[in-house]
This record gives sequence, structure tokens and C-alpha cells, in this order.
Amino acid sequence: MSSFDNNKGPVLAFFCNWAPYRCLLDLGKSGRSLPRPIHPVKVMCAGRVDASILLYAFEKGVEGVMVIGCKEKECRYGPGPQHTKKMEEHMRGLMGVLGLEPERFSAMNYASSDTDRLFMDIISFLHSISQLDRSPLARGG
Amino acid sequence: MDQLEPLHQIIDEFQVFHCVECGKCTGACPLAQVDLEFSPRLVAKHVIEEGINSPYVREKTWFCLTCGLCHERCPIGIPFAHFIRAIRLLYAREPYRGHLSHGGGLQSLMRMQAARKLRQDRLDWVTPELRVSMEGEFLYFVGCLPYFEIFFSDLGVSLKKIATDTVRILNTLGIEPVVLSDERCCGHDLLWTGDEETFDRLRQLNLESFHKAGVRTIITACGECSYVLKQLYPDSTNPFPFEVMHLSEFLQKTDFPIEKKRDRAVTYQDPCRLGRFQGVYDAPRQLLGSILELREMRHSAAGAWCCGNSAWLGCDRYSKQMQVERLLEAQGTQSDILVTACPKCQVHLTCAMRDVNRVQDLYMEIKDLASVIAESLERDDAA
Amino acid sequence: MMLDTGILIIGATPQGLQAALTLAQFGRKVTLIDRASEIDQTPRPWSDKGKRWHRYLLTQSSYHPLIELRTETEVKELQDGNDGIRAKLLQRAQWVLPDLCVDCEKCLLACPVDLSSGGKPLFQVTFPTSMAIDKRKDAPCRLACPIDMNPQGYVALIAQERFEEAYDLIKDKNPLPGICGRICHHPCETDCRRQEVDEPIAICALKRFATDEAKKKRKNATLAGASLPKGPRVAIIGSGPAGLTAAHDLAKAGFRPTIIEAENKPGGLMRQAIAPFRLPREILEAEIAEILDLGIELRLNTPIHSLKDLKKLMARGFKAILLATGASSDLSLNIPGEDLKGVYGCVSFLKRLWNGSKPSSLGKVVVIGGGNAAVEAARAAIRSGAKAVSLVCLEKRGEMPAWDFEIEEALKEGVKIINGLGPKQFINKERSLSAIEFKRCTALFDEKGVFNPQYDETVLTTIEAETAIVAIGQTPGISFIQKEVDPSHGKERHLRGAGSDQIKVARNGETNIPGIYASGDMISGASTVVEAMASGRRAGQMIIRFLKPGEEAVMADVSESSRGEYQPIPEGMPKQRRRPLPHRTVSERIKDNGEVVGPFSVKEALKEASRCLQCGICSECLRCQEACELGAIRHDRTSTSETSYFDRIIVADGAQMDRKSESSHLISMPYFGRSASWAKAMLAGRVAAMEALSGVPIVKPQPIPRVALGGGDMRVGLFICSCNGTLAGNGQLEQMIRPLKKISGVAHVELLLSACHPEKGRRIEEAIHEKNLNGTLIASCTCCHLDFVCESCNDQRIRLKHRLFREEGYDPKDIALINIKETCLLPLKDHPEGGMNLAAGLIRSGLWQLRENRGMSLRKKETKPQALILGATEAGRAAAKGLGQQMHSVTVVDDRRVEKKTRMELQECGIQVISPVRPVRLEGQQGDFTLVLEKKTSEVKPSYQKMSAGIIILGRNEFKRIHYRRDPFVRDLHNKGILRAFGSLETSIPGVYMASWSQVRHVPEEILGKAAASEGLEAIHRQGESFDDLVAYVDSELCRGCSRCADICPEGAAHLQEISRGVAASWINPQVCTRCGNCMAECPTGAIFMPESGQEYFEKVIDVLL
Repeated sequence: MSSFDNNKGPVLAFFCNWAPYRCLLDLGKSGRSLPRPIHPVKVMCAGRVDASILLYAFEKGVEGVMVIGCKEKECRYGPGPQHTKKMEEHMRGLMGVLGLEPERFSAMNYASSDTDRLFMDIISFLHSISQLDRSPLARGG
Repeated sequence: MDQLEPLHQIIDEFQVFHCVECGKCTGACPLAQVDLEFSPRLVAKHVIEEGINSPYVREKTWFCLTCGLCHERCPIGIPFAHFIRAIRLLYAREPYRGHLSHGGGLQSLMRMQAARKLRQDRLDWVTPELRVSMEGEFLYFVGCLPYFEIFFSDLGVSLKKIATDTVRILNTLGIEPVVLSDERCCGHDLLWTGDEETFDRLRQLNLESFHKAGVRTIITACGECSYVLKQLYPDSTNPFPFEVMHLSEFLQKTDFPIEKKRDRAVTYQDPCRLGRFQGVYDAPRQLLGSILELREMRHSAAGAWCCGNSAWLGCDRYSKQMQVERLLEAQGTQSDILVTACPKCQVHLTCAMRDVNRVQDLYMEIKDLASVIAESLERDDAA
Repeated sequence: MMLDTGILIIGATPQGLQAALTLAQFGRKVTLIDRASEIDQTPRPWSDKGKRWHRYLLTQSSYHPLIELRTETEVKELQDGNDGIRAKLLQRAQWVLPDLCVDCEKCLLACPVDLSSGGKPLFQVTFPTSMAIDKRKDAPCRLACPIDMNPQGYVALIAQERFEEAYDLIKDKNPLPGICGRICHHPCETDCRRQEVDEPIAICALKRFATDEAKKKRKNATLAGASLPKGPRVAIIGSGPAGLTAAHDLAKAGFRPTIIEAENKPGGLMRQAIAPFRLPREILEAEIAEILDLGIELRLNTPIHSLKDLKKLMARGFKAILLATGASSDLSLNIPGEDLKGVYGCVSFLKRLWNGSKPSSLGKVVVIGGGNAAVEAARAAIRSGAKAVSLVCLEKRGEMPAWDFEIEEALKEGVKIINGLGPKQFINKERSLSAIEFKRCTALFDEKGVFNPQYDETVLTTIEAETAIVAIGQTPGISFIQKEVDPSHGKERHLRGAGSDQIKVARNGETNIPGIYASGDMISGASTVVEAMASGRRAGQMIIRFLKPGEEAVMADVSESSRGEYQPIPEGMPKQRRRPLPHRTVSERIKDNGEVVGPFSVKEALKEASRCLQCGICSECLRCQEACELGAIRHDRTSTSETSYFDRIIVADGAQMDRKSESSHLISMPYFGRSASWAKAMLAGRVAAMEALSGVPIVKPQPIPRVALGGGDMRVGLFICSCNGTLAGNGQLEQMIRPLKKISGVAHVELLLSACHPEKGRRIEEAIHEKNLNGTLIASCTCCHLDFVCESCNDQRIRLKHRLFREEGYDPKDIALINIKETCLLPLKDHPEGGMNLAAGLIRSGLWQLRENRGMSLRKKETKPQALILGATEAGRAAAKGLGQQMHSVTVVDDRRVEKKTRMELQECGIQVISPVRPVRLEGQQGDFTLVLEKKTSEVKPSYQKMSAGIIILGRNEFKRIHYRRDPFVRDLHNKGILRAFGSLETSIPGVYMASWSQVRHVPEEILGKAAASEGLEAIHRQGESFDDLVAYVDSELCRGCSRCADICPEGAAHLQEISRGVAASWINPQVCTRCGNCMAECPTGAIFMPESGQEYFEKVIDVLL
């Protein structure tokens, strides 16, 4: 883990309340330590997370954002995953124009049994971020 | 209280105490037609009597469309829209700064552009056949189109087309305009939501890149951009060696080859910032009139109604009603196309068409001035 | 019909849970039992949807007020009654009570046992979320120990370097650990299962090690509580191991023992006979002193001569007397010359030796005898300046009763051992011993196997000797209580056995004279220290029972009914030699009486202890019980069985219903077994529930009375749960909350031991009253207001929410729930400060949300009591009947003609039938539907009729195509026809059910009908019963009526309404909204508001987190 808290700014992770949050809790219970820069935020459904929330986060200088939702067709509500996909498209477009590296954003889907995969993905996400310079919007940057 | 001093300055500056409470403003105000509580006159009155902490002022200041129609009608000529802007600046530190639409995402985008370190990549709309350059005399100030293009893609409006069309037009004049990959937002919306600080930073960054690119003339296809660049960027201290023009003004000056084809009827929505704020009414009309048959709406030119929103503030039931009214007016002209010279007008009015029960009644083709002109050129090519 | 008796469901299978839930939702009391300790095994082949549904059932039923869930319980017998059935339920011992367990895993940390499999005896049970303990038979070492010590326990503790705890565990049962640690004959090692692999564990030496270590640490620790006991006085004759143990136990039990010792020092044979080089005297002194410090009086030099003396004691107020004088008089050979100078009995010899009055010179010493005493004497002689020491015995080398290792040591020290000789006579030279004549021993036992040595007198051996020690055994010297005539009535009155070599006692250790007990060697004949202690303990217990009838024995016996067998020793277990103990070199040690055997080094001790196989899995060291301050763990819980009366029994798992009982009250389900698909399982459960309901009027559950916390300025109470103190060490949490206290509006901050614990958690409610708080934030592991529908919910979270929102009826919007356990503190325990910051951030955002929520109002919509069934099919009829019993107005409509018979049949059940009419259009929403019917009349133009209903059931598939409109105001919108929704018979339109299911094959229509009916009823009952009502609402001022929300809303909760002429605004039906928030993401104007989902909320969260 320690390789990540090299005074890098925080990384925001939106967890859907269902499968992903279950994974997060299992992760916590299993005592596997989350890398420090990760800030989990619970949402009822990943579909709620819209571009404005993410833009605000980037504006505030987060190094990266993960939107972690349920698998297609496993969304408890229905529209979540598709909605997230659409949002991802927009977000990637906007980040492109803003000149923010695509590595700074990821939207992924998990089943409640995918705890390990989630953990690995978080690690590799943080890793790819640690390869980048600090966000141009970072505080004091 | 410390706001008092600046407040008095504002009241003096805009001569608000001259208000004779005739109520013409309220009569003219498009918002007042739907939101019966709203009245410019009352806002002014409360400000003078209770200052900015009066609940009425606190709320309504953010409702105002700042379209400036009241200013037109005011016998004393109180610049209400600017007055409102000044008041909003006083609220800069307040928690409540109006109800932002789209979750404030657009404001975020604009504030982000104030970060010096940011390296934008705005130019993916520049298609091969367009001829643009890195530096030169003419600059085309694109504005927020690249962002809007994505942000409003669901609306089915193609906004970057405005940009491509504008460049195409300039190319036909043999101009290869400078377009900046790292152009920053003009800052209009932030200024009008009370964030002067960020506005100044944007202004600074833009001016720097203007200088770097060594431009003389700045052309915009957006009423707001042209207004802001023309009137708010220059300041007494620094020289401002740029001439800023809206595309329509620019074309008027040049001998632009125009094919008179009056096969279709259009009506024109004056953007507040282009019309009332800069007095540019004729240029677009002449252009349009020379291409197609122009039909005026009931409220037009200086009396034109607002598209319903400004600065992504207070989008609600009332703005919707205004927009519906406006669209019906446009329908009333029996025109085929509704033309506007501001991408935001296009966004707002298109959005208003999305109505479960009235899609049929409200639908109307909306185009930007630039596109109409560009298309006329195409038809030349065809001919 | 007795309603209070309720229904028993056997088997918490998915179908069982479904049945329980359905019944409970109709207000029936349900007892749900299952044999297993864990009930969340979802059948393997099930899809994720099935699993989710199962999870839903588990969470919903586990804390439903009307469902009593009992795991590890089975039916012992059934007895049919006339309007019900009697069932005897047996619940196995629950050492961990799920209702009290907060899942903090403190016990896990406390448990010293590391199993070779890598696990621990404590393991997690996922549902009910709790710990469980794997207990097997007591370990053999423990069973072998006469005084019931717990070697597995203290060995495990030693292996973890927890020496003092190990010592305490030893001391708990053994008042003389240092002594036993040296001279015990350790039967525990004899039975140790480790020797099946290599060699037994050196338990005895480890005991000594732990004791020494602990004593070192506690050298200058003042002995606790020497508060003199007040209870009845008891006299104990003799201060040997038996006497001391008895005295110890009695004193602990609150009696006043007095030890009466004939000698001038206490300790009995331990002092008289046992050599200091095996048992250093300072150890002896120390441990005796420790016992006396319990407030025991010791009278030295007070021999008891006669029964009279005992009577005197009685007269002086001793309520009981324990004879524990041991066996200290030597047996004699009765051969010529035994009275010569230089011939000693073993004990008398050693006694003189250790009292320092040893004979001037020993010269050549011959010890006669082959027992441990003999060897001891020989080794003692060597150290006392004997020229030479030989040990002569009858037995051959292999037959000697002495322990081999003792003999080995003796040989090393230079003792010569001569086997197979028996003494004939002592030869004298001027009246003192000069030599001993021996005859050859041919056999030890006669043909009957009785000890009766045979000699060959022809072969004689003479051995020179100045000193002879006769060590052929001891006898209780009870000469002091000779037969004597009781003067009171000239009859012979004496202690039975007196004069013989043993006292005769009843099984309880009482002699023939009431109040006089005997113990130790004097009843059993010479034996070992630990045997004597055991016997002393038994006698002690007897005296306790005798003086305080009904007094519980110290050793409570735990029921075995829930215990398993030992685990087989794993194949190819690596061999590890038993660690040897250090011995002083022979040349060194024979110079003095210093201790021969040294202690383990710490390293060695750890090695040795870690060899233990942990036979009993749980060692019952009770560390976990102490660790759990919440009282969830008790090792002395036992199985319980009770008989209760039920009016119906549903058998949801055939496997758990051994006895095939023929009873009219027994309902067995269709699609038995866990092999059924989840869809079928659900139907089975529902149908069984309907079955059980038939003929029973349902009790409509009262909506939860809402306790609204007062308005006015915010007075928030902050409660941070430390999860039984496991979440953060050394005051970190206190540090974290200090700044929070300063936040305006925070009226109270409190750190809780546990928020979910039934008692400890009550602090929240108390504080709300005391400080009249009008807002509460609970930072624990509970993460949302959902009514347990979420798959990450566990017992603890459910328990808390249930208490707050169901029992207390608090308004969810007044209480913010934040998970700081798994989201911050556990995952970031490597960087506590990081975790704390995160937690503090979440708490701040929660506080902010609490403020925001205050404006919100929870709107509920009443449900129309009518039900409409479309289609008089078999399914439709079944549904109608199912509903008919429970609802006032049920109507069946059909576009086909319903024949008379069916019509009659339905009308008898009070069901209205309308046919033929064509349902044209369905409007409205759950709870308030309007069905437009077209009457086929003879005239040309048809007549229309409207009917309203709370729920709709489609009895025939065609009706799926009915034209549906959510809101009459909206033209042609959402007219996709009716689709099946997830997981039930409910359709895409909440409140509309389909009595058919493509997902399940070969299911009788009737069952589908019933199931649909039960779902419909549930829907009606759920309202007001659920507290999950923090839903989205629309500010119509801000709404543009663009219908984006209505288009995305998965439940169809959001839809447009006309608010003024031509102006549409969205309205979200709180009944239907599942608060996913997708509409909020879509809304361009931000007109939709919902707790913990608004743009501002997220901005706040981001601000506080960064």
C-alpha cells in the first residue's frame, strides 16, 4: 500500500449500495487494508452518480474517481448500469476536452462475490494514477 | 454591517434610488408574466429599504433572468441586469447562491478552466477540410461549444457545428482564423453567479493567450462571449489592443458573398447579450433577411423575450413556461426555422420542446445564425 | 380459534423463511426452527437473483417482531390435540448467543488455541451473524487429571507466551501448582494423544514453567483479599496434600477451616518423605503459605489421640471434621533383627534426614524395596554421605514399581540395584547392623495373581550394610484412634476401620460418625500427591454439601449434547521430539540436596507447548468468556427443551422431520427439499403460508407509531460505537470525537460499547430522552435506513434498526446511520489516523444531512381495500378464494362467460363475479387502480364501467396486453404492456400480479393463484409496517415536466401530473419509490430531493473528505 500514499491527493470511490458495497464491507471485514488515498462514498445506485458530481470532485482536486456499480442485469433497480455507461461516455468526453488523463476515471461493475477482483482493480487503478503527475486541479497545484 | 458600504456604492452606481416605481419593468419582465411574485421594481425597493438581507431580495435576486428587458422599458433607464449582477457579487460568500441547474456541473467546468496548469484539448471539432492556424490576426473565440457538445448530446443539438460552420464561413473569406486549443471560458456565467474572482483569472489567462497568438481581431459566434470580451475584458489599467466582434457584425463589415434565396421562412431569437447588451439587432437580421425570408415574432429586437435562462441558474417550471410561450410565438410566425445567435438559446429552447403532451405543438427546427449562413454557402457550392 | 398459539415452521429453508415471512406479515406468530447453527446456505445451483431473494428473506425474517427464529433446535416429539398440536422442542447448548453477539471478534483474539488446520475453535457464522464454538469431548489430558485441571488450556496459553494467564488457569483448579509441577505422576501425559505421533507433551514440566514464570512476575504482588471467611468452622486433621486442598476449597467456599497438624511443620508427607532435590522446600513453604493466606488457621504440634479429641473439637464449634492424616507409618518386614540399631523405616528415615537429625554416619546403605519411596531413600542416602548405596528388591528390573526415569537418575547417581532378592534377616555385630542376608525370590505372585512372593531358601546372599532402609510401603497410621468404649452408653463405639489399616467411609467420604469425613491415603492407602488432592477435594465438596445443602459444587458439569468427537490426527503429521529438561550434572548434584531438574527455558517451553494437538478443539480456558464483556459467551450453557402448543405446523424441510406423524395440523410443502428452484421454493413457501392461514382471520398489523423528535434548534446526539472496544485502541476514538463536540447543534456526544447490543445500546434511547435530542447520528457498522432489504445487512445492523425504527418508532429522517467500521476503521487500521479522519468526515456529512432532512415530510398513500381479479381461470379462482378470506371486497371479472357452477362456488366465498365484460384500460398506481370495463350489451354502442382496486391479479396471460396508463393526464405514455418484474409474481407495475410464471414449469395453476394472492396481500400489509420511507420527492416549482424522471424510473414511481392547466409536474409515489436516485441524475433542474442522494449532499461529502 505504502507506495500509494506518496503525498498524492485523494481518490474518490462511489460504491453502489448493493453488490459493490457488500464487497467493500467484506473487504473491511477481511481486514484487507484499503490503500490510503481511497475515500469510499456510498450511493444507493451507481446510476445516481452523474457527471456533475464527478466534475465537482475533480474541481476539488481529487486525483481520480471510481464509480463502482452492479453488473448489467443485476442492478437491483434496473437502469443503473446502462445509466452509468452513458454517464461514463459523457465524462470521458468532457475529461478529454479538459485534458484530464482517462486513467483518472473508471466505472466498473461487480457481483457481490467479486470482492477480490474489486480489490485488485482498486490497486491497479491507484497504481496507474500514481504513474501520472498530480492533477492540474489539485489543491495548491 | 460591512455589506452596507458596497451596497450604497452599488445603489449610487446604478442610480437605483431614482426608481419612480412606475412598474413598467414588471409589466415587461417575461419572468413576471409566469412567476407572479417576481418584480424588478420590488427588488429595487427592498434593496433600498432593507438591504440585501431582505428575504425577498435574497431569493429573487437569483431568479432574475438579467435579460435587460426592464432596462429597455425603464423611463429612468436603470440598468437592472447589471444592478442584479452587482448584488449577486455581494452574495459571493453566502451559502445559497441560486439554484444551479444540471447540478452545477457547468459551473464546475468553468471554474476548472481557471486552473493555470490545465492543458485543454478543445480542438477535436476541427475537421481536415477546415483551415485554421496557431497564430495570426484573426482569432475565432469558440467559447464553451466543445463542452456543451458533450454535455447536451442527449438533447440532439449539434453545437460544435456552430464552430465548424463559423470557420467555414471565415475560410470562404480567405481567413484562416486562429483557434486556441487551450482557450478558456469567457467567464460570463461565473460572473453572473457572483464569482468575480474566478472570472478575473479566466480573463487573465485568455488575454495572455490572445497576446501570445498575436491577434488583432476577435470573432465570436456567441452573444455572451462577444459581450464579455468586448465590454468586460478591457480595463482602464492595461491596454486592450483587440477588436471584438460578433460574427454577424464582422460579416456585415466584409463584402460577404450572399446568395439571395428566399425559399424558406425564418424567425430570429435575439440573444439578450447580443441585442440589448450590445445593441446588435440589425446585423443578424440583414444577413438572415438576405438569405431567407425573415419573419419577426411578437416580441423581437429590443423587446425580444429571453430564452428562459441565463448563467445556468434557476431553471424551473417558470422558465419552462416562458420557453413554451416563446416557442409558441415562434410557431405563430409560421416560419420553418427558429434562428438564434447564441448556443444557450438553442439549448434552452430545444430542451423546452421535450414535453410529454406538447411535442407536436412545440417542435420547431432551431439553427444557429452561423449554420444558416454556412448552409447558404453550401447551396452555392451545389449551384 | 386460538390466535396466540401461532405456527411452527420446521426448517429455515428458503421456503420455510418465505412461509414464515408471509404469515408474519399477516400478523401471525411464527416459531421458525432449524437444526443447523447456520441457516444461510443458499442452494448451490441458484442464480444470483435467487441468492438475493434468499438474503432478503433472511434479513426480513430474522428480526420480524412476530417471527421467533431458533437455530440448533429440533422437534423431539409431536402430540396431536383437538385444535392444535403439542411439540417438544430441544435446543442444543448455545455457548454464543447470537442475540448478544456484536460480531466484534474480540473472542477470536482472546482464544489461545491455534488449530493445526490454521483456524480457531471460534468461527464466524454468517446468518445469524455471530460466532460459534467448536467443542469436542474434553481432551484426554483433562479427563485423566484427578483434580480436573485443564492442560489443553494452559498449554495453549503457554504456547502464546501468556504465562500468567496460564498460571491463573492452573491455579483455578490446583492450589499446589509448583509442587505438582515437580512431583506429580502426571497421568495426563500418560493419556496424551500426541504420543500417537511421537511423544506425549511435557505437561507437568510446562505447568512448573508457567508457575515459576508467573511467580517471578508477581513476586512483590501483595496477595489479594485475605478477608477472613465468616462461614461455619471445619477442622482438618493433617496438612498433607489432601488436607491443604480441602482447606483451600472450603475457605474459597466461605468456610472457616482450621488445619490441625501433629508435626511442627505443615506439609505432611510432602515435607516428611519427598526429598528437597525433587521438591525444594521454599516452593513447598510458599504454596502452603498462599493457601493459609486465604484465612486458614493452622495449629501445629497438635496430635489427635482419640475419638474423644475429635468429639471435643465438635464440642468447640467445629461443624465438621476431615481426617486427612495420610499414610505415614512404614510397613515392617517382621523378620529377625529388624529392631537393630541402623535399621530404619523409609519414612522415619527420611523424616529424620529432612529434620536435620540424621544418623551420625551411614556407612554402607542398603535400601530394601523397589518402589519410588525406596529409590527416593537411596538417592537421599547418596547425598547424606553414605559410603555406598545399593537398592535390593524382589522384583526384576522391569517389574519394579518405581518410575523408570527415577531409577535411571538413581543409577546415574551411583545407586547399585540388585534385583530378585528378598530379605531373610538382619545380621548384627555388637548390637548394631553389619550385614543383611537375602534369599532368592522365585515368583512375586501366586497362581491367583495375588502378591505372595515365593522364595528359594537354598540360595542365600549376604550384603554388608551399616544402615538398612526398609521401604516396602506405608500404611495410614491411625493407631491414634484406637477402638475404645464410649462411656456414655457402655457400648463399643468406634470409627469403622479404626485399628485396621484403612478408615472405612461411605461413598461420599463420610465415616460412620456424622460430620466426620476422611480423605486421602487414609482411605485409599498410600497413593500419589494428586490423588490425595483429588480425594481432599471430594471430601471438601461433601462437607460443603453437608453444611450448606443445595450449595453448587465448584465443578459444574457442562452438557455434552452439543459436543463432537476428537478430530483424527492428520496423516503425515511431522514428528517433533519432546523437549528434554535440563538436569544438573551427577557429580554436581549429589553433593547437596539442591533441585536436580531445571526448568524449561522460555524458548524450549514455547516449542514444547506448540506440540499440543488441541484434542478438544475448544479448550474451555474461558478466555473468550472473559473477553466478551457483553455476556454473549458462556461455556456453561446447556441444552434446553420445552413443550409448547401450536395450531399448525409447516414442515419446510423433510430431512428435519424424522418422525412421520399423521396429523391434521401438519402442513407439508410442495417441492420439498433444497433441490427446488428458487422460484418454486418461493411458491411453495407462499402456498404453505396460505394453507396455514385458511379459516384464520388475519390481524392487520398496526402501522408503527412514529415518535417525532422535537423541532426547534438542532440538538443532535452523536453516538460512536466502538464495537465492544475493538474498533480503535488507546483512546483514538475519544480523540476523534473531541472536535465533533464543538460543532454547533451537537448537544451530546457519547462513545458506546456497542450500539446494537440489546442492553448497552439502550444508551441511545436513554440519552435521547435525558437530553431531549431532536436528531441522532449513530456511527457504527449500520449503514442505511433500508428496511433490511439489502444484501450487506447483518444481524447486528438489523437489530439496531429494528430497535430504533420498529420498537421505538423513531422517524428515519431524525436518525443518521453511518458505517465507520468496515468503511474506515477496519480497512484503514494500518493508518489509524487516516481511518479516523475519514470517519470524522463521514460523521460531519451525516450531521449536515440530518439538518437537511428536517424539512422532509414522509407522505404515505392509503391503499384501497378492494382486489380485482381478471380472469376466472383456475389460477384466478384460487387467487380470489385466497384473498376472499382476508379482504372485504374481491371481484372477479372475465371477458368470457363464467359458467353457473363456478359463479356459485365463488359467490359462496363472498366473491363478486362480473362477466362477460372486457377490461379495456387500467389506470393509476398501486393502492389506487382504476379498471375501465366495457359491458357487452345488446345495443350497438357499449356501456362503460369503472372499478377501483388496491391490487390487481391477472388470471390469464392475455391480460398482459391491457392498455395501461399511469396517469390519465399523460397522453400515450408508458404503454409498453405489462411485463414481469424480478423475483416474484409482481409485474413491472407495482400492485399488479400475474397468476402465471414462465420461470417455473409444471406448477399447478391453483398454486400460482394462491401465491399471487399472498403477494398481493403482503403488498397491502407492508404499507405502514415498513419504516423504509425516506423516498424521493419532487419540488413542483422546480419541475419542468420534461418526464425524464418518469422515463428512467424503474418502478414507475415517478410520473407526471397536471398541476395547473396544461402545466405538468412530476410526482413520485412514496409507496413505490425504491430511492435509487437515477431520476435525480437525470433531472436537469435538480427538482428532485432525497436524503443522502442530493447533489449538495455529495458536494458536502466531497468537501469534508478532502
